[in-house]
Amino acid sequence: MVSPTGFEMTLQTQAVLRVLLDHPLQEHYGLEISKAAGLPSGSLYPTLARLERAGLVSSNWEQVDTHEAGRPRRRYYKLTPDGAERAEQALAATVKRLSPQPRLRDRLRRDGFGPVRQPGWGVGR
Amino acid sequence: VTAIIFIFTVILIPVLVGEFVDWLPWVGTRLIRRAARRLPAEFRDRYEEEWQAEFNALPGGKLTKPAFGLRVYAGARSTGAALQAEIDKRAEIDNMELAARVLSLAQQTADQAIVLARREADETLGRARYEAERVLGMAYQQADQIILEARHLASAKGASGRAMHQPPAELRIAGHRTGNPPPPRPPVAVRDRRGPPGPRARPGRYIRAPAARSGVLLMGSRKLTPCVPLDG
Repeated sequence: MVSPTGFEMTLQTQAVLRVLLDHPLQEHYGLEISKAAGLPSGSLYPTLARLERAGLVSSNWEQVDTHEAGRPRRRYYKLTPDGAERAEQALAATVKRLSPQPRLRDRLRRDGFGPVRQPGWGVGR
Repeated sequence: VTAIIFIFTVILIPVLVGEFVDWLPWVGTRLIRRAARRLPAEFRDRYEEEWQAEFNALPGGKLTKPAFGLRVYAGARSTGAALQAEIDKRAEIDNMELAARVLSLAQQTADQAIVLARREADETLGRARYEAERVLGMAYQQADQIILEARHLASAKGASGRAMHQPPAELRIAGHRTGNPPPPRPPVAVRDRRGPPGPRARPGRYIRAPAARSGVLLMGSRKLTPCVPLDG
């Protein structure tokens, strides 16, 4: 399902956005997000790529001397200022959409229309 | 045989398993490289480096690393599709920008082209109008000839002077209604048996004669009218 923000709000996307929204100012690397969101790396990177394309997430290389650190530099992901707001809106919209809707009868009763007669045969006058 | 089986089980299998397990990280690295190759060219280096860094930082035993490589390899197609979409979008924006730039540069040329096209159209229209007038002129000439013949026929058959000069209410030439008809000519009665036959109206022949209908003289009709013999 495509949200008003222009990207698909799959469960993976929601999980990634929730992790990033928990610490919106902090930068996260892939493995960290993968663990926190409970996603395998095979699903994580396509999701991050889509979010990056949609402008919700930005990424940059770790500022580290690879020789000194003895490991390759990491790629860090972070929500963009605009992305944080859009992500919150998108998640809120998804939650609202997925929350159970009250039945029509309950809604009518709540809105003051009184009890609704059950449709059926042989209702006397 | 028992000794061989013992040697194989106790010594060789652990050695082979150990060898295999030692190779697993290398397999993981190869898988990552393969996965990176499934991405669009401009993103390959970035993702290979990123995945390699994640791969090196992986906790756990030797089986974890090839498992990570496998997962990355499995998801690489999807990652590639997302990245390709970005490339396509960028290309589309670039194309639109280029088109806008070219259009703005070509604006002057386009204006000139429009002026030229308009001139050409006017000229064509002028030519068409001239052609229409030429056809109309030819129609008038033909009509004049027919009318002349009809007048001759009518006078030969003793039509009165008044009838000769009675103008038709309207004149149609070659299907065109004209508001500026040639000088009025009288209608012709082909079945008139008086007088000698005209040059074309002879007994046994069919001619395309002008027909009068409700006060309108119709010229250039395709309808053939039979000529009746005189004194028949």
